[in-house]
This record gives sequence, structure tokens and C-alpha cells, in this order.
Amino acid sequence: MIVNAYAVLAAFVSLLQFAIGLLVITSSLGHRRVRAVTMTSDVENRPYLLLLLSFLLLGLNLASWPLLYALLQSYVPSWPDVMCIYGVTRIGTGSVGSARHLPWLLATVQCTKPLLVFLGGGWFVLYLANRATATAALMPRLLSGLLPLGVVSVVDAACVGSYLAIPKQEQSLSVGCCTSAIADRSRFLPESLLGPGSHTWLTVILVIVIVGLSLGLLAAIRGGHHRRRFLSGLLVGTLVAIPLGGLFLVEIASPTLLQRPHHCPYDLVTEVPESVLAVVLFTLGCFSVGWAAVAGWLGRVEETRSVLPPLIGRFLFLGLFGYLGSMIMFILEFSLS
Amino acid sequence: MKPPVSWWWAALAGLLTVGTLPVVGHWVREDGRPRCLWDGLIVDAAFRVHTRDEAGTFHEFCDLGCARSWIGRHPSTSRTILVTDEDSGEMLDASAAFFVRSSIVTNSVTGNRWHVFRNRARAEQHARESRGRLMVGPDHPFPSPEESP
Repeated sequence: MIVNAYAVLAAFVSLLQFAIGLLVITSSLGHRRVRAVTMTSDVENRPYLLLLLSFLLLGLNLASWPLLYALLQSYVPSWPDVMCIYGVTRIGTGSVGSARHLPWLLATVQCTKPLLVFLGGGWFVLYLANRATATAALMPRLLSGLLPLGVVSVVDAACVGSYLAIPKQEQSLSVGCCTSAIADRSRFLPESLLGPGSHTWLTVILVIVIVGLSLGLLAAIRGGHHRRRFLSGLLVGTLVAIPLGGLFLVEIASPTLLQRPHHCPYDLVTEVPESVLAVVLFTLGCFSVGWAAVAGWLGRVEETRSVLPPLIGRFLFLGLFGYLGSMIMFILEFSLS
Repeated sequence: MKPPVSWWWAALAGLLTVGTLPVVGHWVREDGRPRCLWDGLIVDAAFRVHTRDEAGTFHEFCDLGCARSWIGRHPSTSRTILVTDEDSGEMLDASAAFFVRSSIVTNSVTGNRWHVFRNRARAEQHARESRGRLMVGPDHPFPSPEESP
């Protein structure tokens, strides 16, 4: 266990996430059970506490995402061969002790963090739609939406807690003075996923997808096309853009911006920090389209008929800003590199 | 719903702000000091390694370890490798240099323990004094194709 300021902070945030996540889950399940029997004042009041807890959980989930990378960056000097966060994520590979769980715990956490932010944002969109109604028509959906948010928060907090608690000392079966499986330094070097020759088509496809999405978003915003079919098309485009964007970041953006043959997006955090904003804008673009789709699908009731179009329009506008902003930043970064 | 004009102006201002960040970032980072092609560290003249391939492309590395890692991934039969003599700081062809791997670490970040000397006697002295070994034959950091295992 490596104890530093970030580890203590991450442990505290995870503890809060875990406790509040459990509270949200039990309250959400309790609400369902009681609602079937009778409506009392307790049951009527409970949602307000639950909503306050949910806001706290949303804030914690959001804060824990950058905190994870700050924690991993603080661990870099702990091993002589590790030069960036990628190396930290590889610690424990090939080990036989409890450290063998470290890589998959980190991989899980790196998936649950964005998932939590997306789920939290989707829930918040429904909350905004519900707040504009006179009879809180979306409250049952809002409370049901807390269950997956709570479950993922608890899983995420448990994984981070386990990662922090497990000793980061690798043990190999072949503990020799010179050769051992885990003494291989090359495992700390990020490799290309696609190999040379694939860069041109990857860039072309990504540019086509992003330009197409931006034009689609512009048409949706200006023409007021907020029908489910149109939102589905934008969502499909976004689902295609996410893996393409990830591949582009690893295969092309990282080596070009770092001016090294490194396919490591983590290095950008310390060496080209403004490019992190480009990644955040791209994520914002993707998530905003998803949140608009959530509003369009789950927020559609009689009372929200007049509320939804401006709400969806705002998120689509945010999505357009995210995509354009990330595209402008990457184009400028590439032209300057 | 069509967004009000003020939204578009706000978005335009935001995009302009975002667009200036890469320019400012590059301007701030531009320090002119040479950096290692492999790990991006600032090159220390006492341990620098240069390579020049058949196309005339020049590469610079902060130490022998980085140069070996890069060459391992970019194999080429005809390449000129220049290394730095630790005593004089002058560059010489790798085929004429003597290499020692010792307990002395030249760079705490890369953990490099390779040492380069123009003179064999000086290399052997360093090996004796620093619990090292003269790396010749198949142990040479840049073995010729016929010496490679």
C-alpha cells in the first residue's frame, strides 16, 4: 500500500461514494417496496432526502474521475522502470501475489468512472425535465434511475478501495537475480494497437464521422428535429465516434503530440496538458448527445411535451460545441507539432 | 427550439478561447533544448547518442538505453551511431567506442547504467572501480549483424 496525499483523498472519496451509494440503493429499493402498499408522508418526503444524497453522489463521482489519474500520476515515481501512468496500470501483470489483481481493478475503474459520469448526467437531465413539471410526473423514473447509479458507484468505490489497499509489490514464481517474467521492462511501454499503415484511414473515418455528427447536430438544433429517430441516428454516430476517438488518441494523437514513438495517451496529461481539454470536449460532445437521447426517450410524458424540446436542444448545442472544440484543438495541435 | 443568437456568440467566444490554448501551450513549452526521441527527457550532453540513417534522418537520444530501445524497434542495416565519450564529452563512432555496464546510474529516471569511453584502459578502470563489466562481442550494445545472436 502506497500512502500519499492523493491516496488518502481517494480513499476518503471512495468511502463516501460507497456509503452514499449503499444509502441510495437501499432508499431506492425501499421506495419501490413501500409505494406498492401505501402512500404516507414518510414516503412523500423520502424522495427529497434521496435527491439530495444523489446530488452529493453525482459530485463525488465527478470529482473521483480526475482524482484517479492524479493518484496514478503520484504513483509513477514508486517504481524505477515506470515512466508514466501506463506503467502504473501494468504493475501486477504476471505477479502471483495479491498484486495480480491490480491491473483488472484499474481497468474496471477506468471503465466505471466515465460510466458513472454518464449515468449521473442522464439522471440529472431527467431531474431537470421533472423539475419543470407541475406534478413531478417523472419522479418514479427518477427514483428508478438511482438504482443503477448507486450500484455502479458502490462497485467503483469497492474497486478503488481494493486497489488502494492491495500491496503494490510484485511477486514472481521465478525469482532469480537476473531473469524473471516480471522484470521485463518492455511491458511498461505502450504498444500500437493497429500497427503502421492504418493511420490514414483511421483519421479519414474519424473526420467524416465527426463532421457528419456536427452537421447532424447543427441540423437538429436549427431545424428543431428532436424526434426519437433523429436522436437515435445521432446516438449511433456517437457510439461509432467513441471507439474511433479512443483509437485516434492512442495511435495518432499521442505519438504526434509527444513527438515520440509512444502510443501513450497518459503522457499527454503531464507533457501536453491542454490536449486533455480536447479529450474532455470530445467526451462532453459524446455524453451530451447521449444525455439528449436519454431526455428524448425517458423524459417523454404528457407534461414534458413543451419542456423537452428546449432541454434537448441545449444538450445538442453542448454536444456540437464539444465536438467542434475538440476538433479545432486537435487540428491546431497537429499543425503546431 | 432555435437557440438565441447570444448562445452562438458565446459558443464562438468559447471556441476562440479553446483555439488559443494549443498556441499558448506550444509557446510556453518551446524552450529550444534538445529532447530525447524515445522518452522526451532533456538531453544531457555528457551521455547523448546520435543516429543517422541512410536517408540522412538525424535522431538524438538522452542515453544509450533509449537509443537501443529505439533502434530495436526501427531496425536498419546501414545506420551511423555516434556516442559520447564520458571523459572528454566528444562524440565518436559507436564501433570505435568501449562500453561498460556498471553500478553507476547516469540518470535516475531512465536508470541508465551504460558508460562510454574512447579509451579501452579507461573503460576497464571504470569497470573495476564501479563493479562493472566491459561489454564486448555479443554483449556490445550495438552489435554488428554477424555478431548478433
